[in-house]
Amino acid sequence: MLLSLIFIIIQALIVFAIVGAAVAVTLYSEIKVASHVQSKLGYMRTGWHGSLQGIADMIKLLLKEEILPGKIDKLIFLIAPYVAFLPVFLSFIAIPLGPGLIVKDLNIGILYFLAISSVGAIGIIMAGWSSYNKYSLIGGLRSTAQVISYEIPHLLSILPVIMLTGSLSTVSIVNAQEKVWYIFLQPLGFLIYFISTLAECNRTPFDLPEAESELVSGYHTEYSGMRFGLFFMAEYTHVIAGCAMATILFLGGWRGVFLPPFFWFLLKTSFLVFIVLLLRWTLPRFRMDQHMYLNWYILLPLSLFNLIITGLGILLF
Amino acid sequence: MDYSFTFDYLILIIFILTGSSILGIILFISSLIRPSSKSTPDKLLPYECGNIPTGKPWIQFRIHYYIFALIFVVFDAVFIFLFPWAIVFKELGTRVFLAGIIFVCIPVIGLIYLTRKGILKWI
Repeated sequence: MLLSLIFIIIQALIVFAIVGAAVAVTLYSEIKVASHVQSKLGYMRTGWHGSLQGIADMIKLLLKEEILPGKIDKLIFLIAPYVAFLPVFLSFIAIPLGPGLIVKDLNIGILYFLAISSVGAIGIIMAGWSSYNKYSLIGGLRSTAQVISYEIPHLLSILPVIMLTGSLSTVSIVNAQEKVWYIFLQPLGFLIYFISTLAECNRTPFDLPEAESELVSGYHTEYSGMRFGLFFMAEYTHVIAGCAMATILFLGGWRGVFLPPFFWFLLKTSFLVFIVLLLRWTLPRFRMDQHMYLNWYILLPLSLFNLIITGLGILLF
Repeated sequence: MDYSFTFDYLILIIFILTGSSILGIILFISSLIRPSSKSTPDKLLPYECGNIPTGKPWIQFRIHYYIFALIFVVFDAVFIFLFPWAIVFKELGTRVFLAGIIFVCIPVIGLIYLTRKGILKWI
């Protein structure tokens, strides 16, 4: 029993290390993509083409002074970064990085992922409310409205995949894609999943919760130092977890030829993350009403339509 | 409750504990090495782009956010019932498909009702 406990703790540490490394790489590529989109060079000083910038940023954040504003709700203010980061970290339990490279193949894997990754919204609204700042409050409320609204198309776009597989386990979903990736059977489902994942991670074009031009920086305006860093990490981890799940659900997970399975998984996930980064620097932000319209009148009916079409397809073929 | 079920949740608890202790350690290290400076009254004010803040931020906010949360709860609770339906779909065939269509029609009617009432419109 003790041995298996230690084993799980080591697994948790490994997952944390992978998440940390992935976040560092994503942060670096974010700036690089941004710079190259705008015909600039970006980081060049630290290491080869600025490749050590992630470490430099980490040290800088650790050394920053932390300011706790005067009238905050202190307890909630202090635990909000944990609540924002931990759920996304926990969602990695159900993500298989390769055959056998999974912490636990839960038999309700997808449901678990959906449930736990949306808990992060509570951390955001806690941060927004406890900050004693008007911008933070509006940012937190917007974020919650957005995340819970897009939860519905997110859920419905995964349903057809479950209908095709007949299982909620992530490993058996990947195994079911041996012949054909689900993106070819579910192009619409993939599109809806991807858009709603963008919205759930508060990424552009859905970054209304931290719209700099109107809300300073939304729910984490009052945060400074490493606590701000934790929110930052939570957001990027969420993007990576969402893209990893898209890979598992629609792009065949670790399946591929020639290269080892883990590299295929990494390749597909990083491609999706790259698209997310590229979108940030090419698209303008939505307005709140357009945003809600897109969810309730376009994505929701489309995903229901996709569900029925998939049902018909399974019955006929 | 069988052994594997408890074990799954043990994993979850250990992950929560390990994750939060790593975050705690990071924050602790930060508190050791960062410079400490005196706090002045101006530093403790809420940040509002340099203006002196007026009024309280903890106010009544738009009712819209609350209504959206309510709608979400209803829709999510309805659609979560589609998960068991989707798992057994392949085995059960046409009748289950028709039942599913009828089931999906209920939230669609709800959506039409909300539209007619003008609730989903963000003003």
